This record gives sequence, structure tokens and C-alpha cells, in this order.
Amino acid sequence: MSYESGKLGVAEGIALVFILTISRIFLSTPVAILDDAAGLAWLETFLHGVSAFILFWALLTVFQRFPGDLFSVSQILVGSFGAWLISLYYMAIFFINYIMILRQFAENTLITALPLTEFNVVIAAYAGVAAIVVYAGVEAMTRATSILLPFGIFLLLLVMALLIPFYNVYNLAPWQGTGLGPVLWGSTAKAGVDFGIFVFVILAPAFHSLKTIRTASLWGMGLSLLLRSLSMLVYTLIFGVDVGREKVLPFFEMARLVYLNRYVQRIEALFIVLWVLTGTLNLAASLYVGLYILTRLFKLPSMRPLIFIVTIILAELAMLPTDVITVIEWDGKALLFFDIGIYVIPVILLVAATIKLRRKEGGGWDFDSPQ
Amino acid sequence: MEKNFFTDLYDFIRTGLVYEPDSGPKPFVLKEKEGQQSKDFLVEAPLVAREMGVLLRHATRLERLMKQTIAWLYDENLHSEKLKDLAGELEIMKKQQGELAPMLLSYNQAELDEHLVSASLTENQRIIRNLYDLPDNKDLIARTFEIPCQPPIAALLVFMEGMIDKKLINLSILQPLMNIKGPCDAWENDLVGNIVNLALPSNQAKKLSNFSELVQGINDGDTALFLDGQTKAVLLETKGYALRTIGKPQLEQSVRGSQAAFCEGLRINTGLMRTYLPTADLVTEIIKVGDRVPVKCAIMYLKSVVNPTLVTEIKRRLNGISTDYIVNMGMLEQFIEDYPKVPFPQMLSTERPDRAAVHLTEGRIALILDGTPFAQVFPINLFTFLHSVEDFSLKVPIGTFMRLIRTMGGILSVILPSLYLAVNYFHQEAMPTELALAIAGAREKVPFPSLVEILLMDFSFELIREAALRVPGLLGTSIGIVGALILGQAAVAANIVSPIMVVLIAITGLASFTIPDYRLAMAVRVMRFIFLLLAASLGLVGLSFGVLIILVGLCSMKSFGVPYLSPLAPRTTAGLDVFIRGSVFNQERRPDDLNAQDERKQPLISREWTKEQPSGKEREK
Repeated sequence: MSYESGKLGVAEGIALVFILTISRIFLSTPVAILDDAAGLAWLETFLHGVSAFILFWALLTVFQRFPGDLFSVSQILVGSFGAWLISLYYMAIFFINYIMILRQFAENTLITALPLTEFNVVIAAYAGVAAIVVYAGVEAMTRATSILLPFGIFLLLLVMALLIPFYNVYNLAPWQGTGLGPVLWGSTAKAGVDFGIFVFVILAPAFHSLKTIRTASLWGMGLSLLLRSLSMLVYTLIFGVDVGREKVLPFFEMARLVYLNRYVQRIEALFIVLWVLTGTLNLAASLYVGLYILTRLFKLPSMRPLIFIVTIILAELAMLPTDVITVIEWDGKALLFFDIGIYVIPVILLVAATIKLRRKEGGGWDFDSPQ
Repeated sequence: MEKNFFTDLYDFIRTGLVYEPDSGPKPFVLKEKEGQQSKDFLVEAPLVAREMGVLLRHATRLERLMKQTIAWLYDENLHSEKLKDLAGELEIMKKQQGELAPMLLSYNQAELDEHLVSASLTENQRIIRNLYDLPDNKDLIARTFEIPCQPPIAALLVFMEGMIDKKLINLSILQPLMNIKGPCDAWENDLVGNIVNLALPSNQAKKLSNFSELVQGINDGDTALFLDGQTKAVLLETKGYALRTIGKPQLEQSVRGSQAAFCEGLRINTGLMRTYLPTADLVTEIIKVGDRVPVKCAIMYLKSVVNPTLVTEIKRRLNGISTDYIVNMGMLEQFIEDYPKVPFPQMLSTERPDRAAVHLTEGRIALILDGTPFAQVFPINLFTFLHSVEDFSLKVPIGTFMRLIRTMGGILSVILPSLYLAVNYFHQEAMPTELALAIAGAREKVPFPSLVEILLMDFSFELIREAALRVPGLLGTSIGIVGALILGQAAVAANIVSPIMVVLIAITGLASFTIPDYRLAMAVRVMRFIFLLLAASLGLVGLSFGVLIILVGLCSMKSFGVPYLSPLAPRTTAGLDVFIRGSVFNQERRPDDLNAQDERKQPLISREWTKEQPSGKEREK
């Protein structure tokens, strides 16, 4: 049989990385990218994903020689203190992501779907449902995501297809752009968006094998990157650079434009289902990974007693910013902080692994040898 | 004094004002238990008393024999036959004396039915009398008679009235035994064996020496034969209780499929399965469940296909049940399933032996409980509940289409009312303008909010459904007509609900009836009400939360170790029998998630004739 109890397979891995990286498509991140790269926003989206992916694959070579999860491998390579610092950093970025996503999805829900509902109720609803999902366990969470994934992709593609009449190719013209330099710099700086791919090294023992991780990361990240780039491309095609930079919720604005006939119009309300599901699953995944690291660091037997306590603390923190603009601003800064996890830590671990292996074997090391 | 209006008025006022104790008989009050009371004197009495009882009975018999001997000695007509009888009787007494010690030991046992069969017929009779509470219990018949051979042998026939075939007992047991003539001396070495082999034409006869097995046999409708002087009794197959014959399926009807359904008899049902799967590979194991009243439960599987761990697990669960009595499969299911509090069914309940047989060939296990006209099949996934037996008889496109219709029906019955409510309350812009106006116009005179309207209609629908189920069959249709047509029409006319709501609930109701499994349909109904409340409070956001929680819940469930949503989650090799039904010749593998011993049902090319030349074309080749 192609599954094992308590293990995550390729489909679950794809779902996990996909949900951790795609959710920002529904938030203001695409607008920030458009602001950087203008007509080449789709390329910047693609490139920052590629740079995160390359560093992740480089890190995988370390895990090939040192099996285990991020904490145990870091312990071997940089000592217990270093491992603690690295794990605490990754825990922090997953929790920060949770806070940012929670606040932004709650705000957007209030704006677009439930204008008369109390803000606290929406925050509590998102946080509560995400906590329930985490309580069900990582298998259930990722399996549910893998079931919803095709529907989500289909709906995204459907909106893009239904907007074909609004496409204006001149919006991609070079003179609308900001040049290749800002694109490259932006793609380097925005790589933090894709921090979710490092979930594979954090939860490494939960996957069947390194091959499962490789396949899942390739497909999950690849699919997510393609969709995000495509979405960015369509967004630019429709709104152009100047108008596009003014929007707060790019995907919602895209869905609002759909008009097929008098019976199929104003379908954006129906897309609320899609982004509520995406947002909640992203929250659940972030909370799970953060709690996993916490449980691992303190050698706790179970994360379940922590779920609701941590949820309450994080939800309270999510309510601290005074308005949504502040949250978007903080989110932009948080992405730069996430970059440390994309660039610095993998490089440190890679260098440490090389030094350790050279000292041990007195020569180079073979990445292709079996575990 | 004669009664009149004034006396009646006086009595009424007096009764109202003055309390008078009831002069009738005292009402029955069940007294509280005062400690542990003994059910049977012999069981609870001290060992010495029990020993004394046995010895006393032995002594009484000995005394009677001595008196008889004295009487015969004084008799002038004493002849050799009488002496021979006397010798026989003495021999029995000797045997009984010899066995007194172990018999006394057996009395140490707590339960009467654990006793060994005694050589003394009187002793056996006494145990039977105590076990079955004779003569109060009128079900058990203990018929004494004499086998008229030389010397005559006293015998006792014990059977349960209503469970046996009387003709069989009269003609196949009593008649042959009563017709035995001549000396039985030659049989002395193995009297019981010889009687079974030479005199009883019964198809099944077992020699037993303990009461526990005999009592089980008697309870099942067999007849026990005790012979005086023998420490073994014979259990004869005489089952003949009234049972419903094999009828047509009531819940899983099929136009083109088989028309046989399970009935209440366990053995009839296992036999029925065997007629569908006539192979030595089919194993039927019988386990008794329940402590006070054990009920037989058959586990059926194909030995060469099923995963042996699954068989071990189900036996472990069945053997691990401690309860008084299991009345039907629904109860048993709750005792053995993984998530008894989740409304979704985790075993397939089918009344069709052909459907159960198909699942057995895929590597599943069927459970049949005595007295229940359903077989439970497991492990199972959610999608199986959307399959119907009709699918196997229809062509691929039609079968697939029917499945998609059912799946759509299932989804609609869960979310349609809540979707309407969410759009109506929170996202009116999602509706086409004409539809929004039509709904607003229809609801103009209705004084309730949409949620109340839906709950009103949905509860009414549930009431009609439940009422139609509970009333006698003839009235069911009338209730449906009264409920659905008259009540619906009147409710609209009275402006209690809007016509659009009647349409909505009617579609939802119809959609829920497309779900083939009754228990899944019930679970869906419960979910519908939860979704309604979520949609009423948070619109589509609430609906999405509901969908997510249900989905995650289903993903975390397992049916006997197999994920409930497989092959969808986790992704396993699906085969062509989940949503889309492939051709039978393309379904080469058994479901991946069952981990069957033999994964392949048929070779890659099962229609080998397609590779050959058609008949009559051999020469052209």
C-alpha cells in the first residue's frame, strides 16, 4: 500500500508547501511585488521562488548525509546552542506568519464578506477553526488540503480564464517596467514569501524518505510558483502597473471583474469560500509547524495541550496593530526577516556540514551516496 | 342515599378539599435488592450440603433398589430376566458410586452448566430441572421414556419447544429408539456410540460429556438424549424454528441485480453467502458475543485474499466485548467500530448477499449476526456509501453517471439550504438581479427570517419522513401526501413560508434520498442543520469553516485501520471503482488500501478472446 501510518506522502507534502506559499496571492503581497518590478512582477515572483528553492535543495544535501529533522541535524553541525537558535528562529517565523496571515485574512473578511460582524468574532473564528484543524493532526490537515487543492487550482484558473476579455498586453510593455536591476533585487529580497518550503526539513522524519521530500517540494513549490506567477501576470495584464499598485486585495479585485452573462456576474462572493479555506489551512499549517518546533525543543510528549493556549496568545498579538495598513507594513518587514531563513541559515548549515565531513573523512563528500 | 346533582357536587368538592387514601389494592413497588440473593440453593450452598444432597440421592436410589430386591426375593415367580435387570441396575449403581468423587468435585463449579453428565439419569434430570427452572419454564420439554431392549434402558430427551422440528423428533429419534428390540448386551461396551450409529437416523449427532455444550445445543434447537448409566449424552440436530424465508431486498432494490436478501437466520444467511461464493476459500468463523445471553456472530472472508491481520483484529474486538446482550447489528457495530460517536457510518450495512459477496472478493470481511437480516462489511471508505448494487449491473457510462448524480445529491443535501441562507443574508450581490427580486417578492408577505423559514420547513420535512416510517405501511403514503402536498401548499397560502423555500427544501429532500446508504443520509441530515447555523452566523465564511472541519474530521477517521477517505486522502492507487466506474475488465486490481494478500483480481488483458481470430475466420489466418 502506498501510505504508512503516521507518515506524510508526496500528496501531503505538495499540499503542505502549496498552502504555506500560495495564500499570499489573496493578500497584498502581489501589490508590493508589482510596486517593485512593475511589468515584470510575474518574473520577480518566479525568481524569488526559484532562489528559495535552490537554497532549500542545497540544504537537502546536508540532510542526505545527516538524517533527522532540522533540530537534530543542527545539533550535530552547529552544536546544541546553535540548534536552539536556529529552531527558535524558524518557530518565530512560522508564528509571525500566523499572526500576519490571521490579521490580514480577518481584516479582508470583514471588508469583503462580513462588514457588520464584530472584528473579534472573525479573528476568533479563524483562530478557532485553525486550532481545531491542528488538533486533528498533521495527517488530517495535509490530507484535507490535498483534497481541496485541485478545486482551488481549478477556481484560480477559472477566474483567470474568465478574465480573458480584460487582458491588455500593452500593460506588460518594457517601458512600463522598472528595469531588470530592481527586479533582481526585489526577487532576492522577497524570497521570504517562500519560507514555507523549509517545512520539509523541519518535519523531515514525518515524510517517507528524502525522495518523497524532493518530489513533493518540486511539485508543490513548482505548482505554487507557476500559479502565483500566472496570477501576477494576469493581474498586470488586467490592471496595468499604475492601477494595480493602488489595490489592496488583488485577487478579489480580479474576481470582481468577472462578467460572463447576466446570470454569471459578481462571483467574487463565491470565491470567499476559496480564500477562507486557503487562509485557514495556512494558519493551521503555520501553527502546527511552530508548535512542532516548540514541542521538539522542550521535549514535550504532545503538542495538543499547547494548541489553544498558543492560539489565544497569537490571536491577541494579531489584534495589536491598530489598522490593516500597519499590518501590511509590518508584513513587508517580516518578509525581510524571513529571508534569514532562506539564505543565511541554509548556508551556515551547508558550510558546517562541509567542514564536518572534511574533518571526518579527510576529503570531499559524496552527496549521492545513500543515507 | 340516592345519587343526585347535589350529592355529586358535594363529592366533587369533598374530593378536591379532603385527602382520602386510596382504598384499592396496594401498588406494586419493586423492593431494593438486599445484598446478594442466591439464585439456586445448590450453587450457593456450602460444599458439604451439596455433597450431602448428592449422597442422599444416591442412597435413596440404593434403598429403593434394595427394597425391590427384597421384594423380588420373596417373590415366587422370580425369573432370570428380573435378575438380569437387577444386575444391570447394580452395575449402574456401581458406576455412579465410582464417579461420586469427581462428580462432587464438579459441584464445586460455580455454574450448573459446567457439570459433567452423570451416569445417573435422575441426577442429569435434576441438573436440567435446575438449569432451566422447570417446571415453571414451559419452553423446555424433558421427555422421559424407555428403550425397550433387554434390559430396558431409561432415557431422557430434552429439547426446546418452538425451536425444534417435532416431526423429526417423533420419527427420527423417538420412533427408532422405542422400536429397539432384543438384548442390548452386545452394545454394552459403547452403548451411546452404538445407538447413534445403528439406531438414530439423525444427520448430525455429537457425543458430549459436559452440560455447557449440551445446553448451548438445546438453546440452538438441538435435542439432547441422556441414557441411564451413561456418562455421555447425545446432541441431535433437530433445529426447526420458524424463520422468514429468503425475500426480496427492501432497502437496496435493484432492477437488474439479484433479488435475494438476507433473512434473520444466521445459518441461512451464511448458506446464502456460500451460494454466491461456492468455494472452499470462503471461511465462516462463528464467535459468540454477549455475556449473559450469547448471540452467534459469523465472520466471513476469503482466506486467500483477506489481510490476516484484519481477521485477527476483528476477532480480538468481538472477543473483547463484555455486555449482557446484543440485540442487533447496530449495537454490535457500536461495540467494535473506531469512532462510535461520529455520525458517519464506518461499516457498510447491506441486506444483499450479492453485494456482500463482491466485497468479500475484494478482500473485505462480512459480519453476520444471528437474528439480523443485514451483513456488515468492512473496512470501507466514504465513497462506498455512494455506490449502489445497481452499479454492477449497468453499463459503464450509465453507472458512472448514476454515481455522479448521487455524489451531487449528497453534496446538495448538505449545503444547499445553508448556501441559500448565506447568500441571502450576507452576499446578495452573488445572486443574479432577477433571482434576487424574485426571492424578495416571494418573501414579501412572510413574517419570519429565512433561517426560521428553513428550519420550519426542514423540521416539517423530517417530521413527515419520520412519521411515514413509523406508521403502518398503508398509511405511509397518505402521510407523505398530506405532509408534502397539503401542508406545503397550505403553509405557502398562509404566508408562513415562501414558495421558493418549499422548492428549496423539496430539492434538498430529494437530494438526500439519492444517497443509497440510510445511515449516511442520516449523518448528512445532522450536518445540514449544523451548516445552517454556521451559514446564518457567518455566511459563506461560516460555511467554509464547516466544510473544512468536516473534511479534516473525515480525513482523520479510519474504518478498521483503513483511512476513511482513501483512495482520495491519502492518495492510493484508486482503481476504477470510486467516483468513475470503469469497465469490469479494466478493474484489474483490488483496492490498494485493503492490503489484500493477492492484489490482482484479473490479468491485464482479461478478455483474451479479443486477441484471437473470430470464430469461422481461422482459415483466413
